[in-house]
Amino acid sequence: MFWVATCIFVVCYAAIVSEKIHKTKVALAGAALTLILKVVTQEDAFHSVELGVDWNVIFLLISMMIMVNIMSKTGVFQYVAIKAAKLGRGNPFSIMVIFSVITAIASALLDNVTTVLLLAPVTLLIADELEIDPVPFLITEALASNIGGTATLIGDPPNIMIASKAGLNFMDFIVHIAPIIVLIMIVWMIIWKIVFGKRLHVSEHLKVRIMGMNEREMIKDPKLLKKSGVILGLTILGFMLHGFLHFEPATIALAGAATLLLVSGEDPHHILVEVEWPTIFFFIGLFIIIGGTVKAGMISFMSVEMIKLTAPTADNTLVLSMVMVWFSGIASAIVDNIPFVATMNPLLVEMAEKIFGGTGVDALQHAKMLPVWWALSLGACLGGNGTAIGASANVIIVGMAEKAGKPISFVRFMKYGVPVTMLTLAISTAYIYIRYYYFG
Amino acid sequence: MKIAEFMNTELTRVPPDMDFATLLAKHASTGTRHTYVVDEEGRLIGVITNLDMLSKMVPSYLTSTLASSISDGGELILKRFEENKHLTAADVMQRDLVILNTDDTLIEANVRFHEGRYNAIPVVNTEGVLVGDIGRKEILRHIAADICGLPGAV
Repeated sequence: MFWVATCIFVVCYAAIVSEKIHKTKVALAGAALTLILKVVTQEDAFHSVELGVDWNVIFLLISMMIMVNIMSKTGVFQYVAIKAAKLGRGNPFSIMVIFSVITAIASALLDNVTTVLLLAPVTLLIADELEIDPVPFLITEALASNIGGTATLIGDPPNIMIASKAGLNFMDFIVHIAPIIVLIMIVWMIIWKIVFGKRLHVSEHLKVRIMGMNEREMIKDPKLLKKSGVILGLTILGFMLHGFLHFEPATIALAGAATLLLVSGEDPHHILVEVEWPTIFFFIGLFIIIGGTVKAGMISFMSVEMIKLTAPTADNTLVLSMVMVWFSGIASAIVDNIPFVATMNPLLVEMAEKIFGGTGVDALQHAKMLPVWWALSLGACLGGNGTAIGASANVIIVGMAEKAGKPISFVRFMKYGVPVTMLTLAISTAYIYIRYYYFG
Repeated sequence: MKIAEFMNTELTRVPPDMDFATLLAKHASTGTRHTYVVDEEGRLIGVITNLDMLSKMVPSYLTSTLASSISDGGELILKRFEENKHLTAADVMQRDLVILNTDDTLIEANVRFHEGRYNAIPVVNTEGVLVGDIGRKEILRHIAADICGLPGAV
């Protein structure tokens, strides 16, 4: 079974990376093969916590998508964007900074793709009105979306997967990841000021166009905005308290989504049809394929090799953490970070159990293991900024720019993405070393 | 009943190299539904609808909600016109064409309209030369007047 599971895994991975076949088709076909060839049983795939579909991840994703779909109908994102552009007095660099911060915050609380889908058209309009190239703004937003999404448990799918596997809660991410993301944003914006500060200038008569825009027209449904704002706020409060309340994050999210569906008056057919089902089924297929590799011993074999390479001990995981930041970062710039984290998660579980002994939370949340999880999160999420295909938000931005007649070449994206990725990974490395090994 | 018997034969034909500004002016000034792009032998190679021209004059990212935030928008349209000036009819036209032949029947044409929600469909002869077009209104008028015999429909 070892070689069967390994073959399915390698072929599926290659097919996903090649992008010749839609990744959801590949994942579902791989999952079907894993079941048909009895690498795992259906019982394992559907009901086993170790080998099967992680329903916590699936329901958290679906619930957040439902909430975002309803919220996006209110026009609040466009309202905030235009209001922000006016706050920046039409100054292009101020707008770039404000939009980056808004994108990062929105991406930390909602999904990255929705955030850029809603903000990119406003960005294109503002660039048109200011008669400037929108490309630096669009790429900056994609990068900000991936950086901001790293800050919270719900901000980016890799974090949802890591949290579910390692039993980490929302506040763990706020305490351990959010501070470094704030620092990264500050350093990045200072560097952006040096790069773009003098280049982005427009005449006063063009700024007047921005000041003349009417943001109030954006709010299409004020009642729905109030309802969804309150429920999203309560849901985020629920996330903050879920560890204390002993609820899984998916329970909180499902409660929020169900309440918003009930009170919004929206037709569930319309809302549910907009859930990104291909992504959901991609996750489901992937979990089953990875479950096969765990059961067949491939992940165990890889964990032994990784231990040989990085030589972690119960007292020292420094090399493992450092390698994890950069390995995850580079891998996630090249391949989708979701299958990458899906593979790394069981690998780290095996390693934790071998290094620290025992199973469950004791091993996974050992003081010396936690920095490794944070390294994986930072590397996988921030690494997506490296290339135009490194993260879903990048793909969306490139597609929208092309449709608007402002194509972004792969190389042009990398000119922005690679330096920002190197900078953010370097800051992350220093942060993990100083916080968890130097002072820890 | 063959559609050649009641199709419209007053068409706007343009060559594929017609520039964008001339095309826009022609679209604005003629009363026909579509502009047909034909080669030197009169063979149909593309169709340009009013919607095709309109969509070239607004940014692709603009939604009706977002458009309501702008006070005027005249500059945006003018900018789009300047950006598109280098285009020709061949760049703007739809190449994936639905066509009818002169010997197709009324009921075939009627079904085509149902299937594709077209405003008008070009009609070509056996050599592919454009000879006319037929719209929803012509079919409806023909059904009401000639088939159902309703005198008020003529």
